[in-house]
Amino acid sequence: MTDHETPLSEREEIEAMLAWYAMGKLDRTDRERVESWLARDAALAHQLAMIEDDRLAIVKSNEARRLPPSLTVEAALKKAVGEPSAARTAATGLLKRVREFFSAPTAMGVRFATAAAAAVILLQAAWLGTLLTDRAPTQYQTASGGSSAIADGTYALVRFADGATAKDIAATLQKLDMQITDGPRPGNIFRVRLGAKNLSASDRDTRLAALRAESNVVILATPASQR
Amino acid sequence: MNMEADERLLMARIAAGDQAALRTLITHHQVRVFRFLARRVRNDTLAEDLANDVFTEVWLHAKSYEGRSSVSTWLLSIAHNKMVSALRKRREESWDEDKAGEIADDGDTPEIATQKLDKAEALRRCIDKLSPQHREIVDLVYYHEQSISEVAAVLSIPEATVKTRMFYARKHLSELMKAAGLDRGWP
Repeated sequence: MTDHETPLSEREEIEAMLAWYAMGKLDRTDRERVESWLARDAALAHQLAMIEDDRLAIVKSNEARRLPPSLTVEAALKKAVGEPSAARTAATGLLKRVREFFSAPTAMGVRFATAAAAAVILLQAAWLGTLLTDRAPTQYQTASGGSSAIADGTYALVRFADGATAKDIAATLQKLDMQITDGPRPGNIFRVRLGAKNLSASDRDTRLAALRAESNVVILATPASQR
Repeated sequence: MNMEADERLLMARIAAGDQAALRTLITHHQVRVFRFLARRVRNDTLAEDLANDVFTEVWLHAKSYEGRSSVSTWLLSIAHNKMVSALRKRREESWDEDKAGEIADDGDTPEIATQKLDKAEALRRCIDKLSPQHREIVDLVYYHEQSISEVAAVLSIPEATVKTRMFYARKHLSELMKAAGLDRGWP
């Protein structure tokens, strides 16, 4: 807020919100507040017409701006990917550190202790894998886990919450009678079988809604193509 | 699949290092990001550099996108932060953001500028005379169609401040129109 911008009275707040009201961008509570004022204040209704003029002028003003010829998708892409991605930098960095570790002239005891810690991490990862396949063999299978029993169906693309454990995911899918058939794909997206092939749109949407309702476990569930 | 889900998937692919997904994102958003920056910094070369920096930031930090706002809001937020940093740096080099706006203008007073223009053109001229902050918020609302909460996220300000700033931006615009001989009956 600049120095001369004092807090708004209620009417001024309504005036401020008219712009969002005109564009259908208010939530229900604010929309009803604005409409209540509009019903009893003709001057506010006059401002709505003014807002449409302003909006059109601003859109035209933006679109009239000539774009520089050097502004191209290729230039932006080249600049962006010229930088190593953070993920790849981290992975490369880890490998490099491992190599450096084993080539570094440090005490054998320290190297052994660190190697032992790395082994523990690997064992934990293996245990997690076991948890997935042993405890929920049909409810949580990746493509490599084998899913030949699931020949066809209606599918969704699902991303699970970062904090969700394998046990949580398996329990959720078991409860909903759904199975993972593929994944993880880039972005940790999984393909999940919602039910039989050619579910009606309403059945599919009901099942998607059930998935989305498990908001502690599922952060994205969206229809996927049939196959 | 709705647009929001499409955007989340696109961001997930970028986070996984998919350059084709980044290309799609740039194709969809580059012009709007550029226009947002250009309207504020009033220097096409700088706006273009900053717009490219926005997509570099996306490529490097796509994993930090948590899906709490739309992708366009997130991009505008990155653009705003980069613009603020760039303008701060320029100010330190004796460049003033408001002066930049003045230099880009043609020097006419609103009265002279609007004498030969129709109402719509006069309105556009007056919009260009708004302060950078006011121009930014009307652009975000009217052109980029950002909601109150989205503007708050882009500018990192409270929602109450968004409303206050929008109120005074509209008020100042009407005052400029009045000064240009086009009294709209408000304020």
